[in-house]
Amino acid sequence: MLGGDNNLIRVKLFLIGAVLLASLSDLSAQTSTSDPPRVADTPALDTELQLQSFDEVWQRIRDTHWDPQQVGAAWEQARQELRPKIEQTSSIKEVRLVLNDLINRLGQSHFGIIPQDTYGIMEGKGGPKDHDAGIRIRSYQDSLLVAQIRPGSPAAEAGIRPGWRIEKIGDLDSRELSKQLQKLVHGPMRYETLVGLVGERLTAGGKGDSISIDFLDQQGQSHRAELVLQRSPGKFTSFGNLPPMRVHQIARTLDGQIGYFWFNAFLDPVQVMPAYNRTVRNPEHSQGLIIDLRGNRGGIAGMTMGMASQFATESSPLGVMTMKGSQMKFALNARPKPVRVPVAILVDECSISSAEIFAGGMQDLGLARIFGNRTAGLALPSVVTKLPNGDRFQYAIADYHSASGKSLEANGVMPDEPIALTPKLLESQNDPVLERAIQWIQQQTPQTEAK
Amino acid sequence: MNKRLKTLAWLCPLLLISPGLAATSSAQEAADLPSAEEVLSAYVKATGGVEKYKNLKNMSATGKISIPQAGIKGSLEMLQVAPNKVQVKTDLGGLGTIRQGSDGETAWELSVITGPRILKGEEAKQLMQEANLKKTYEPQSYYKEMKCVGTEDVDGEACYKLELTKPNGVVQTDYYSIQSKLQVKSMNEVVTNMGEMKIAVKLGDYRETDGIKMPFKMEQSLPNGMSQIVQMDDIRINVEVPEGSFDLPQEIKEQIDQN
Repeated sequence: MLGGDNNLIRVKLFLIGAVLLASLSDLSAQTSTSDPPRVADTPALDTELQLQSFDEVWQRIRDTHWDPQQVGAAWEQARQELRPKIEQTSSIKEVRLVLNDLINRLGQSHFGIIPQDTYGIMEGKGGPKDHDAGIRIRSYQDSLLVAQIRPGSPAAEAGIRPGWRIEKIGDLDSRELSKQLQKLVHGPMRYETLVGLVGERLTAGGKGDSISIDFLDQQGQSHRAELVLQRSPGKFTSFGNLPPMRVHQIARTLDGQIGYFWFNAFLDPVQVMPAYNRTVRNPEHSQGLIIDLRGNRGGIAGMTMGMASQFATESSPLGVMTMKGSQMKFALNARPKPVRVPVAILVDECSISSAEIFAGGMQDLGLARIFGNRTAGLALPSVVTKLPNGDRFQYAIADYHSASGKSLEANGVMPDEPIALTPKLLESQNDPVLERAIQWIQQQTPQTEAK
Repeated sequence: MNKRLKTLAWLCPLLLISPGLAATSSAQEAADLPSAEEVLSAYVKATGGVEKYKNLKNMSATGKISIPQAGIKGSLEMLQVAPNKVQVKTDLGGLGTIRQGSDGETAWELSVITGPRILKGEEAKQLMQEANLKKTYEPQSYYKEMKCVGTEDVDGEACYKLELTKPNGVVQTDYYSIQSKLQVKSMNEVVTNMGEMKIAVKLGDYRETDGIKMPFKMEQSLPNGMSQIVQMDDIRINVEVPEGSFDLPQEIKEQIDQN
């Protein structure tokens, strides 16, 4: 009973909070120091609210960080040094700079301030980045490269091809941009990941926006494209304090008997999980499965357990998170009839967070072979909370080690088959990572049919 | 040895290493402590009396759940029939519905995120025990050992601190208000598929339902830094239980068939 038996309700609901950890990396949280001022900068600041926000950020980290070394004397010193600076700020942007200065001293992922106007789209205020050009940009040497084009997108309609180098985006010279991004690299954030995330942002905008991009093709010929941005595919979703984003998934059958599933975030489980389960359990996909996590930004960490469980023959964990004073296993729920076909997982430098937890665990447990580029290495389970000043604060609450014991933070998941994208490779094969995965699956003999 | 003396005997080794004045003070305090049985009995009396509890066959409840740090809100429904049938449904909007239950033989969980799962071992026993309504008014039938180990303030309220050893050996620490006799806090270790976890629960907003006072608000602190707040809207006892209420969901039946 609720009163006398003090176990009743709390035990039954226990796992809810445990599986909802946000392992999603938001660019707003990572790079707000470089963002231009927004509308929210203009109102006069309530200094007391900003001080309360500072105190909450400082205290939450002190109270929940798993490493006492990180939140010892140096943390107290940081408070004494930075808190007075809040009183000197005159705009919310300056407040964010101080807060990011504090947070960046940890040198770890999943600590950041997410501006409140990021959430405007869910409050009917429209979103500044709701449309895009359909280009996936990755780094190449000291410049930028078109890694993929979304079919049907403005970039596809304009005839832009994977492998083309980007010379300019608007007035921004790509080499100059590259130099600027090198300077922004901090903590575990890699340059390659930052290029991908910033590239996504630079080719996105609002309704009616257009961008001009200068390209250089493999033959050295210049192309200029004026692209009117198209509404990004997928459904806008928001869950709790996580920043809203469009969740998009693609499920299809390749080469007759290979199932393919791509999704951009571990969010919207009501839509994503059934679609994923149908794909991996589809009897037609008897030759193998490809799970494409390229560009996947993470999300609800619990979804990694449900997805990996489809292949689990025993209840080994995907990994273990170590919190202040306790540990939690990312437990798999072994199925009586696990899916037993070759599984390829595609990753790149923008596979982040939950995407890394999933890929790393599947690799460690021998349940999948990984293809592509090393993942971001931004893999700490976190929580997003609302600050008194309205901004959101994302903070990691645990260290995470994959099933084999290796830390994913700063290291990422190393593919079994690394494939570096070059203009030449992309010219000869539209999607060399996908093609290599298909080739590998076709070379395998499926194990026991278990659909 | 009566129960009070038992408590004193347990405290003796501690007293040997305590400084003189503190030892005297602690010994006096221990001597003033009631036994755990007395504290639990006072709780039963304050919340309705043994006879009310003995007539309790089942309970249903509806309420809200929130995880404030994550900005998450949802609703919940539960039904339990003594001694071991349980059904809980939590709806968290975009996360879908999470269900847990037991038909008295099989304990299970079903969620969009983790799929169907049959609970085993200690985790299954733990869920079924939730419908054991007897352990409130006959705690000695459940706990292996019960001790009142001192007094402690919980949010400014003076409480007796009880250590109750469960059949699996885990010690649960409960706090009962000295003044109101009501339970205000519990610290426990629960078994989940993610491991054994320590949680703290604060209980409040006691209201009377058909002659029994129950806490309508529970705030659970999880080891990951999150807290879950459960606020009940409605609790009913001895309700009519529709046939088939505890039938296993199809997905669970399929798992059993495939095993």
